[in-house]
Amino acid sequence: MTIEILMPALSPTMTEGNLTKWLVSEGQEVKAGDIIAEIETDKATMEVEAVDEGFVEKLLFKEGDVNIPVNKPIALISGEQKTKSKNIKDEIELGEKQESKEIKELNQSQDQQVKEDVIIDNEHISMREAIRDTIAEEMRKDKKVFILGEEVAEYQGAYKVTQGLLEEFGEKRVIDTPISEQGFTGLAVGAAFKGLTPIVEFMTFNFSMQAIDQIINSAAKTLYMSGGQINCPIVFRGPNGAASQVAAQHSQDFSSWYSHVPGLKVLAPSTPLNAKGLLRTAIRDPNPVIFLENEILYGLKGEVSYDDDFTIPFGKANIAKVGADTTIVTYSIMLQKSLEAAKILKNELDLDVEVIDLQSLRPIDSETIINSVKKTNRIITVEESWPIASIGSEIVNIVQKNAFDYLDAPIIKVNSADVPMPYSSSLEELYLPQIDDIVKAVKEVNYI
Amino acid sequence: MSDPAKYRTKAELEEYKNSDPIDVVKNEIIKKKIASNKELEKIGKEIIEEVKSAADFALESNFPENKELYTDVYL
Repeated sequence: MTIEILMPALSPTMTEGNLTKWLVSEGQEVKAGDIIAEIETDKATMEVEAVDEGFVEKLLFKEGDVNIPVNKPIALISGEQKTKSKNIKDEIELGEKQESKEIKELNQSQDQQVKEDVIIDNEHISMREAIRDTIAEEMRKDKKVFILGEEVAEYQGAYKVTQGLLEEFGEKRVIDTPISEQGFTGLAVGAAFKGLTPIVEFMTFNFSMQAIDQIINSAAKTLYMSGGQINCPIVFRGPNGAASQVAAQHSQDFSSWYSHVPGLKVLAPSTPLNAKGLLRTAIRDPNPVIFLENEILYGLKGEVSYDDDFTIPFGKANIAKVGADTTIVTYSIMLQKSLEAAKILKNELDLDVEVIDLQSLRPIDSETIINSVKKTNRIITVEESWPIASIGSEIVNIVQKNAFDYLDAPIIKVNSADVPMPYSSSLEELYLPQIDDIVKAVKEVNYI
Repeated sequence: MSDPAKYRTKAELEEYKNSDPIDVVKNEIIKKKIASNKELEKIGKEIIEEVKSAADFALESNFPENKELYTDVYL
């Protein structure tokens, strides 16, 4: 029986990867658990293990092959040893080496191509790079700024956000921590009390729950409890919300949780541009700031400002699309879906939707929301969090209190389903707000 | 899949493997004659089979019905 070894996905958002190294050769015997290859993506490097015992029948890709789709067979393992004359095997190996060299040369020329493209198009960088650049810029300017977290240094970040920081700033300012959120968050909060400016990376905000006491009881409340004597200049950052099929414990939106807490400020970027402006504001602020990134957005490319003093203030929303007929208030990854929905509504119903990207969840820009409702008279909210006590719930309160007489329809909130995130891809799609849900809600407030 | 751990030496990894709690318990089980190494290997293979057949079952099954989204939040 022949077993196919497939290109594995390092994460559910990965679609392809590179084969960096084979650790076995054809004809070799392998046991379950033996490492057979190393693969990499822009996010991480991993080893592929044999799941069964057998003999390596064929390696289907060469070392250095790039962009191999996930689930494509990369090797064949058979139950029986293949008898092959040594000479033929040597010939095959020689042929492969030559081929592999050609592929390497091809890859090198592609690499050069990519580098040239980057230079030409240097105004478009990814969200991941925008965040990294801002951290580096602020670390260059202020020696008090340092970063700590799991895998931020040697591994270059679990999501490759801290790439290159260890090399530039050294191990005193780019610190790998043990897998102990409560411990390293407490350490960072203490450092902030004594005047440093720590940036705490949570591998994902799901793990911030391990450190919730340090964040809320220590970081957020100490200024108040010390009568203004001890402040806590600290940034807690990392990916928030659903990625793709990582199930209930690893797919949670914390925007509403943290926005509930007096003493914290909460930011949620949606583009490389506002990620840079908001993160710089967060690092320079003398208060604890929660900075909610999104795994799916890390690869999103866009324009950025190269002014290393460019900031976006707290409590300032961005009108991502000006419109006259209905207001959509949203933030983070749901901005993209809302803009898509706005296009559909324009094309199909000639509805001119205004899309507000909150950017800052606490403080929240009530003025921009109220002014928009006074113009459009209809509003929906779109967010990934659960519906009960969500950011949308707060916006409903703001609007009913300040623009009650301007409303021509009840406000509709579009949220995730009120259940833990299911694992199945079909249910995950059903759980998350989709473009169709947004279109439907806008139609509903227009009585269409 | 596993992490190639390029950020630490093989020696350090080997050192920690010596205190791997799974191996420590395994050696303790053998030492106290609760089970033999052969029996433990058999259990290991059975577990791999069980997990593989569960994975196969999942891959061969239809996607759950939409109503399952709201199932089992509360009793």
